[in-house]
Amino acid sequence: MSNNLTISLLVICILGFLFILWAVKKKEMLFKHALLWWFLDIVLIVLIFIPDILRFIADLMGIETISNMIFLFGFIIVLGIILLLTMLVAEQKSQITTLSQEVGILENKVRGLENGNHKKANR
Amino acid sequence: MKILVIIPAYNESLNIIRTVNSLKDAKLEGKYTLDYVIVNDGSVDNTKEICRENNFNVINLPVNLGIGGAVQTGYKYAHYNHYDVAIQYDGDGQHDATYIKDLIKEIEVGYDIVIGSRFVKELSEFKSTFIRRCGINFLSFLIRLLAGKKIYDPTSGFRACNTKVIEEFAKDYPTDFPEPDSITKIIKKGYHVSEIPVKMKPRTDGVSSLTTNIFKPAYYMIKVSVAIIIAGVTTRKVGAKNE
Repeated sequence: MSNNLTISLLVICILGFLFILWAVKKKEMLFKHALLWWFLDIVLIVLIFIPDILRFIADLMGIETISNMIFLFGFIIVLGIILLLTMLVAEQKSQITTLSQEVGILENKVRGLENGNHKKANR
Repeated sequence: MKILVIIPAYNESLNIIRTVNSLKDAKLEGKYTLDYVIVNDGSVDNTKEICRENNFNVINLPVNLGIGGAVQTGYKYAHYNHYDVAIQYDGDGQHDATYIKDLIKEIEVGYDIVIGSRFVKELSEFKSTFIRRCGINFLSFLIRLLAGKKIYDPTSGFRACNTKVIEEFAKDYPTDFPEPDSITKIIKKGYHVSEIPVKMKPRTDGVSSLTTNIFKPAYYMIKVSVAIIIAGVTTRKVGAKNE
């Protein structure tokens, strides 16, 4: 790999790393998800310096061209992340449902208590 | 005996007063006390204001949860306030309060959940299209196959249940089209289900959630069928050991 390519890929990875850091700091990303992205980032950086790993894995899996293998892994990783996100959505939906229900029931109770007090005050 | 009528309401400003007033037809006396709670499922019309003006007992959900979430709110309310029986009663005026007595009688006999059914003994004059009957028969068949009990009207939203089932539903209740799914789970958990014939009125105002476009019934059937299959296969009897 040419030096220029190595440097530009490295810069992209480092920018990605810093962006995640910034997002965590701004609380726009959960730390556990940041860890996942950083891990991916570090794997990519390792591959930039030792691209032979890719050849080795491709041969091991019987995949002829490295680019195909990268697409395969790319798809698997992206699908995996989407799957995790849909699970997260489900979890949050159930949390929101429970919260709304409890808020509604509490509001009903508070209103009842206020009306009760109001009636007492009027007596 | 404390009885709670759960009235889920989404944009039912045209029907809600009539629905609440219709509860007088239940004519329960003596040891029975009949309360009701309207669950206003984030309505965008003036359901909330109408309930306030009329001093109705209402739970206003801050966001729209869908019918399942709304009904479950009622079951939670029943559970927290120690009601002996909870009855689901639609906010659109389709259910007839004179049958509430019959539902409660079945609970007193010892059943855990009683369904007010349109199709037992063909009593009902409820107008149902052929296609809709086919759909309901199919769901009925599916439940029989998976849970081993014939339920004539698994989609009925007119149901009464005792404290045990109230607790189950307060803990876990399906979201979108909850009736067939929840009844399958309840049968599989080993509770006793009964069905009694009731007449239902055609809705007077507003539209059914299923007739707005032609894809909805198909989507409904697929979704409910899969839900029944999953519920049928994965639900275990209460108290049975997990293996």
